[in-house]
Amino acid sequence: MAGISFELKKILAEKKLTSLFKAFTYSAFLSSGSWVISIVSIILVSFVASGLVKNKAVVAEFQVSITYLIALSLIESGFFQYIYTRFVADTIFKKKYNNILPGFFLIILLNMLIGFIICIPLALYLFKNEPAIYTAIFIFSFVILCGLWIINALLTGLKNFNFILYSFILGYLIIILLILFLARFGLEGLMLAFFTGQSVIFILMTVLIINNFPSRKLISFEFFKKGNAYLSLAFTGFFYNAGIWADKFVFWLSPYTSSQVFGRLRDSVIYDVPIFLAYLSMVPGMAVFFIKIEGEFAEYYSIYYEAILRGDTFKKISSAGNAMIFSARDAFFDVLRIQAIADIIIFLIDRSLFRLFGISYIYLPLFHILLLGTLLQLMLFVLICFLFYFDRKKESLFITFIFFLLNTVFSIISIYLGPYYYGYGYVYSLLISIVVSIIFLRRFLNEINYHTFMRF
Amino acid sequence: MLIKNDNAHINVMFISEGTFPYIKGGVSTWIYQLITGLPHINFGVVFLGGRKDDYGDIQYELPKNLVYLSRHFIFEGQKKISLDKTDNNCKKENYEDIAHFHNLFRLKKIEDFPKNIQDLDFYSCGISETDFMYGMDSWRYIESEYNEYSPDSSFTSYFWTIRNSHSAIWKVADIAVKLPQFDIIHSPSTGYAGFMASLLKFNRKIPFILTEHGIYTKERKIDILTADWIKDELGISEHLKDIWSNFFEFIGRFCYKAADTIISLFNEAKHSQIGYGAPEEKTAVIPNGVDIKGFSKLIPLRKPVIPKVVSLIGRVVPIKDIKTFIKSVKLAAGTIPDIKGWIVGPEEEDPDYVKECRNLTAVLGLENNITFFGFRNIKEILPETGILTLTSISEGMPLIVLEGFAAGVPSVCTDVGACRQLIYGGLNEDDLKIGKAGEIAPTGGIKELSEFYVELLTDEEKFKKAQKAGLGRVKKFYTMDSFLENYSKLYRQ
Repeated sequence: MAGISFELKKILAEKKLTSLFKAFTYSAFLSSGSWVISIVSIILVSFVASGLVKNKAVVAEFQVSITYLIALSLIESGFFQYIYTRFVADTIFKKKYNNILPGFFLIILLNMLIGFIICIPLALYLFKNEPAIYTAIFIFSFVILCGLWIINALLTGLKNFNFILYSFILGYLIIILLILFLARFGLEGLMLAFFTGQSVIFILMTVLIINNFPSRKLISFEFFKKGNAYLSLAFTGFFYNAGIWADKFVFWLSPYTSSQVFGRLRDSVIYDVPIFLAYLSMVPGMAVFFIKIEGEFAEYYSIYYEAILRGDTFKKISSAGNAMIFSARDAFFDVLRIQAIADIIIFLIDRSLFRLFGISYIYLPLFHILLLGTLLQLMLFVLICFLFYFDRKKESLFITFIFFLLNTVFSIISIYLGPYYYGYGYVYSLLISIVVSIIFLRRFLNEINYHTFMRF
Repeated sequence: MLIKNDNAHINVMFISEGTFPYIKGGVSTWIYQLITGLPHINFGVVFLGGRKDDYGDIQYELPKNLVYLSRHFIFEGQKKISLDKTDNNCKKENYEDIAHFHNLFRLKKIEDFPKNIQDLDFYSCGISETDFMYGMDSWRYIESEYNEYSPDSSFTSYFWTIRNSHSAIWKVADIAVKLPQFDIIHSPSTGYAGFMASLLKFNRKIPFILTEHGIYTKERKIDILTADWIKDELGISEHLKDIWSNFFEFIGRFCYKAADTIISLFNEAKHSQIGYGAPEEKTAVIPNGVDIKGFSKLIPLRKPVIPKVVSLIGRVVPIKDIKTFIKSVKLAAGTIPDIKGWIVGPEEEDPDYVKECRNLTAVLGLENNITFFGFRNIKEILPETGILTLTSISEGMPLIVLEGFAAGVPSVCTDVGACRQLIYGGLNEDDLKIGKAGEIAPTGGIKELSEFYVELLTDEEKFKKAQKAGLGRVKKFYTMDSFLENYSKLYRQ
């Protein structure tokens, strides 16, 4: 008998739909988790240092040092963050848990190595006439942070939440204690305290990860096999992180708005205080964001894709799809609503808040604009998070790129326009990126079934 | 993928769908016999397989006059999607075209086929694979068809059935475009191979010979009806079965329209072809032939007593209905306790079925009677065999029956394909006069089969008569020489 019909059954049985679920384990936390930790670190450590150390100049130098450390290491790690997250998501989906650890070691070592190579000339340039010991601690802290951002990508997958929390608390306690003892050695002492605390967190987290993801191999280059590495994800991560810091760097580098603090590090007294305060205001929105997306939306998302994998009728698939879209819309508006309420309250009591923290009222007008900016920032986080969930690689890359580009260009323009326009660059770049994201997302969600079936 | 190319002029190109040279079996042997038997003709073979993993190495020593061999897997991999790049030289298709293409499979009359589907350009330009597979219009159409015909079945299965049945068409068209030049195209089946041959015929204006061993459309229908794979969480979808049936029927009609000569191996097959839409004036019968000399050497090896062995030589797959054979042996063992049932044939194709058969043997307590040999040289088996049997639910013209005759082994077969014609005679009056070379039982007829086994194995006189009739028939009507002569003549025309 001629023919190949008997093979058809294998094709039907084969799950071509597997790719659907690949994007699933992208987590909301991943798209903004590192960023939250970084902001909290900067504010917390600066706050502690200013309380414990009497020499205000040293505190300012320390503050600007860790801000640069965190910003630069985040941008550098952006290249690897998402491709590694994607790799983890794929391996978890394929249930090849043994591959996670070897991939982890490969990426973390690669990221730290590249960080090290980039940081040496950078540090030598920035701290040309500064003590060698400071430069050395700066470089090592940079490398440790590069490792920590990769570790962050794995943390949400772990269930030992308490261990993670206590590790971070321990790390920061060590920083505080060491600041007390090492403050008399000046800036180098404070830097050493920061480095030690971060190293402790790094080691504890690495131990946790090794325990949680058993593997026979320590390192594996499987990551580089075709399909595992996505160039577009590397650039998405880079532009995303670079975009978030773009306006700050513009204000730090512009001679009109900044001043030299330490070595070639500059800060912007006008911009830094209100922007970090505005970031603090994001806490309520951030909380709702995690609950809504990780909790509710993720559930509807898996119901939809499970309906397809299980082979439900089109009616059921469609209604699961609609439920998922409603849940996404719900999450978006809930975040917007809660953050807007929080912002209105902050707006109403802003003078009392400023008095409480002992901050000059001069900052108020810029703070109001940046408050709006951080609200929009939150919206963009949510939208990009959805784009990640739906594996819209091209769109994510495009949006993070225009966000980076516009935030840079608009911020420069705002500086030339004068102090009344400060902060508008940030706000408008976000506004445009949000509109574009919404257009992309709408276009996709309107035809979600078509995209799911025909385009995967 | 090109396997062999001597860059010689190709006279006859075979399109082999899942057979020669990667799979052993009736059709493969037939192709091999034609190529080796006609050394003055240069042959080429295009092998179409499903997926790479399903095939091993080449199973035959490639003859010298096989000057071209390429293999392709039509269910393998997916093309890269590039929706953004549309070829500007092609006119843009519209919704009606796509709907029309989907509807093709329901057309019953050959005259209704639109001209453009015969054109190879149609598959790259008219409706490109990209449009059909990934376009929004196509999606809308699938959605509305689903809602109309089977809104209660699994959409996922429905969607992939549509996609899988259609995507191979573009693959086949794609392969056809790239083939070298040749004089005649010869396809041993309809199906994808026949479809490809048809496209080549229309586009290169070369003669197309179609030889059908079984009736492809019918075999696919049996596959579909017995398949448990067209099934989903919601139960068996009748509509999905219809889609596949329509698809293969469409291809069958398309091939009959395209072919210049439609050859079958026996009379009944010819009538079936006409029933499935083949124009009668194109049809002809060319039976298979057997190497009489080679097999007659086996006769002196036979022992004087009839071996109490019934052999079923064929692949262990559901269509051969091996289970009925096992049950018949069980029944016959009631009369002849030391009866042997030998199952000789490859077991790789459907491991589940093989397991079921082995379990059945154990459950019936036949471990001492039934033996699974796997693939063996039939020349070792035939002299040890009392009678040959086939219990298939579908057959073409089983060569093994003729080979058995030539080696002095009568056959007991179910009433399928050419079995009746071979065993009882039916080509003409002379053939009938030769007499019965065995017995014919109804399909699944365990009782009849076992009775015939017992009768032939115990009644020496009847056995001798059947043996003689078999030898006489094969020598008169089914020699290799006349088989080769027929095709040689056909190619010359």
